[in-house]
Amino acid sequence: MFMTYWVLLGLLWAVGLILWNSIYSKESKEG
Amino acid sequence: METLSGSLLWLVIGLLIVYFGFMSWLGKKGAAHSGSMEGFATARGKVNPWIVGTSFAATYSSANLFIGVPGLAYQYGTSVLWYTLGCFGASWIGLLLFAKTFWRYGHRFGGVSTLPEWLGRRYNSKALQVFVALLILFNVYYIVGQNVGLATIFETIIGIPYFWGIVIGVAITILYIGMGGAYAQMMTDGIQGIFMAVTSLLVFISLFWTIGGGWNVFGELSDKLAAIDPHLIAPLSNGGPYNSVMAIMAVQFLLFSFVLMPHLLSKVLSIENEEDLKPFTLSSGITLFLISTLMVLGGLAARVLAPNLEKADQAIPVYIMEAFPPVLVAFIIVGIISAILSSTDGLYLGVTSSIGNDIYKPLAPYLHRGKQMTEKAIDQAAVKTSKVALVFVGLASLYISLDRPDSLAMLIQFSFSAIISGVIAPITLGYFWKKGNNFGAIVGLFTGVGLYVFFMNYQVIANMFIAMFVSAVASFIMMMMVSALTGKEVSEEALPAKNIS
Repeated sequence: MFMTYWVLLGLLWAVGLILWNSIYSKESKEG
Repeated sequence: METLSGSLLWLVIGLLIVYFGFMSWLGKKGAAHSGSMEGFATARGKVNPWIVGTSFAATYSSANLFIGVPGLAYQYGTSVLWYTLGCFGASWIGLLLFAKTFWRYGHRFGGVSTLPEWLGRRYNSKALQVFVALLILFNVYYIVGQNVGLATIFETIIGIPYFWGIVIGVAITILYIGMGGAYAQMMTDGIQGIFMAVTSLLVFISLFWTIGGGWNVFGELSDKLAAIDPHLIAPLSNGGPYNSVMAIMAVQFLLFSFVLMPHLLSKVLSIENEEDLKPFTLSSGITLFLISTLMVLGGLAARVLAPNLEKADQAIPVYIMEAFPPVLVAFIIVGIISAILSSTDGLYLGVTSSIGNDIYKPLAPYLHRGKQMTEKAIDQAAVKTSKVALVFVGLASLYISLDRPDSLAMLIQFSFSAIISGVIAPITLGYFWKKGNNFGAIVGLFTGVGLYVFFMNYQVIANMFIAMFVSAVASFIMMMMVSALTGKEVSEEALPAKNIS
């Protein structure tokens, strides 16, 4: 269970950062 | 269970006096910004976006995450990790998806101060604004949950009787919020957030000596938990709230939509410039991660160290007293108290801002019939109403807190689930669906809340997360049906730029 926890947390960071960069960078359109 | 004694006790009391003094000073400083409703409710543009982000995460993480959830982990084992996973993952992703559009609409409406006001402008309905504000009063139970957490800490560790713990907590919070509004709330949260992040990290690191096993500390923890009860390391709990895949999926839905809680989403309204949303959301993510994913491990470790506690909510206080030398215990106690205060102050601010901005203000023309009042005068009266309401809400929460409830986590989760069930459809459809209208939104609101309360009261759906999910779906359906049947589109151009009474 703990291994799963750390792996999933890493994945969530990756997804979050990708979203953050694409939605909140200056050039992004209405989204 | 021994309370602290001697020099450690005085160290904690000393730290707390300095801490409360500092909060009050920030309260006074915030008074300059809390003269208007916008200032009191949002302090727009007055606080650095990085701090607003930390404040978001600090307000989000309350006694629930610092005491309640580790208590559940103590009782039910590793299945509780699905919850903390969602606290960071689902909630941060929810914030990233909701924040920008919510901000843009708020900006387009000419600046709104609260979530109910946002909904009122979006659907051109004062009635909706008032109904949502009334729904927010459910948060009094959330406040009660925080009071209980604080009083439990005071009682367990310092030996202050439960009643006085509640009184101290209520008094301090309404003092600095009453003086300083949103400015004080976010600045104090910024500091509290740092305490909380450091506390979580300390608890995480402590596992290396309380559980041992070097790099295999989690393997060691698994083995020791399994030795007490094999169910404790199962991915699904035996009994408890995380006992099925459906329950866990429903929890993720709850945590994703949790950012819609009025006292959280309205922090977006504190941001003045669109480009400041970028540091705000990143800061929220980092702080959320540190605070929400690590503290729960202390609850699991506590089960190994003290397997026979009377109440699961004692797990964290007991654990920190076992794991840390006295000076760090004092620091961590302040960290835990920070968690509680940073949520409580946000809740008080949210509830009382709504009483002033969303109940008093829309109804003011009727209340003051015959008296000509300027917009500014009404705004001032609204701020005054909010501050007076603060005292009454504090007293109400004190009264309810005196009948000490059994599980902190369950009480808190009931109150916010009821609110989210009501608002999720109007907010989400407000973004994407032009056909949503005020009738649909109001019916959706009542459907969501009504069904949720019905399910919980009559035990129709045993699991509160599934009940919330079902209520939310029904709310969406009803809102869409009623909007479609009652017709007119609220087109973008028709949305008023500034509210005309």
